[in-house]
Amino acid sequence: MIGDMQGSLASLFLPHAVHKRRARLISHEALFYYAIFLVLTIGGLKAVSLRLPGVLGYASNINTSDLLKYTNEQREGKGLGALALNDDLSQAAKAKADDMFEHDYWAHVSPQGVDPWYFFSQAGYDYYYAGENLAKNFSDSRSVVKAWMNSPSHRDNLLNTNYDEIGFAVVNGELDGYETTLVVQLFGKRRFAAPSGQVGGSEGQVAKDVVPAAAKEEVAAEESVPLQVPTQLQVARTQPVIDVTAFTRTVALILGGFIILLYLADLWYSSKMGIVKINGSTIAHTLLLLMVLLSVGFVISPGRVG
Amino acid sequence: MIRDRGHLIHLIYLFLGLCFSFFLFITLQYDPLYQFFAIALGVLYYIVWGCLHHYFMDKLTLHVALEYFLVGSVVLLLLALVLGIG
Repeated sequence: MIGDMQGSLASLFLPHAVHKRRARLISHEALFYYAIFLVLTIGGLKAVSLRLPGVLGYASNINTSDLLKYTNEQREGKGLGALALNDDLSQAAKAKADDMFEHDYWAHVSPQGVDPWYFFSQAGYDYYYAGENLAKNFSDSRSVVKAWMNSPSHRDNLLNTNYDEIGFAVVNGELDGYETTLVVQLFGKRRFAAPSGQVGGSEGQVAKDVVPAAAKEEVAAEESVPLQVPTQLQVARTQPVIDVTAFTRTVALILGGFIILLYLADLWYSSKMGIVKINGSTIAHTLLLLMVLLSVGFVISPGRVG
Repeated sequence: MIRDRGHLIHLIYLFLGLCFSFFLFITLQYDPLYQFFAIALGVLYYIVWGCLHHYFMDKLTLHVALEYFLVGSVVLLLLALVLGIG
């Protein structure tokens, strides 16, 4: 009886020497159930975001002072001039962030067709050149700027020599059922400041680096620091009830790591017992899973730029 | 011996393909959807590799092909979960 139980337990984790099968926890059936579990988890998160808005989110701690500092560090590293923080641009950035929350979108152009340049004009910023970068779901200021630098179109904006002023807004709110921290970065050069021989464009020419991308994810905000005076330090700190990044990453690492361990046990035990099975390459499975776990553990960031 | 060497060479092909996929994944860090596609490309390569590998080893069966498909599916779902795709 005890022997049967031990055998049954062992067959969960180790290949069967007589039947020449993999451990039951990495059998086809088990893999199928893992897939179902993951589908249900993904669906469950979506359902929670819809039914209980604000429960899920991404922890963050972003401030405009660091955003400005890291942005100018990148520019100065390329031999470009530092950008000056401009009140009007920050007002425009704040208005853009508010508009995204109000109309529940995350894009350069709103569903109503309002483009970024509208907010420049509303803030009284008469631009000759203008550009906009967006970001959301990042945990800190450095990773926001790093992500912009990793994206060719955003990097072009950030390192554009036509700009001499910049504005930021970091705002917490609810987007698509998730608590989110939005970062809006606006670049500009005032019309009156543009040397006529330098820009070579017609009046109103705009270097609009409207960058593609769009995504929706969120950050849960426990506190939302409104941006009343744009040039003052603006901080957005969020601590959601459930940090989606930590949760999904933990689930992926535990499940993926568990399966890898089972494959390694399969490799070791089959070799030790001389079990020859007709199945897929255990090394190949392990390699693929390792690659994804490396990605999940060290590379993936929930942050998105737009 | 030749069979073992062939197996090793096949694994090297797989390793290189997965490295390329991982490289794409890192390069496309600014867009989670592109990142997902980069790994999806690697998974597709892995499934095709698995089928060809077993075909050349005269061990290709539906059971084996299904195993590659299932492992690939689990991997993609793990990634979709973390990237918030779906």
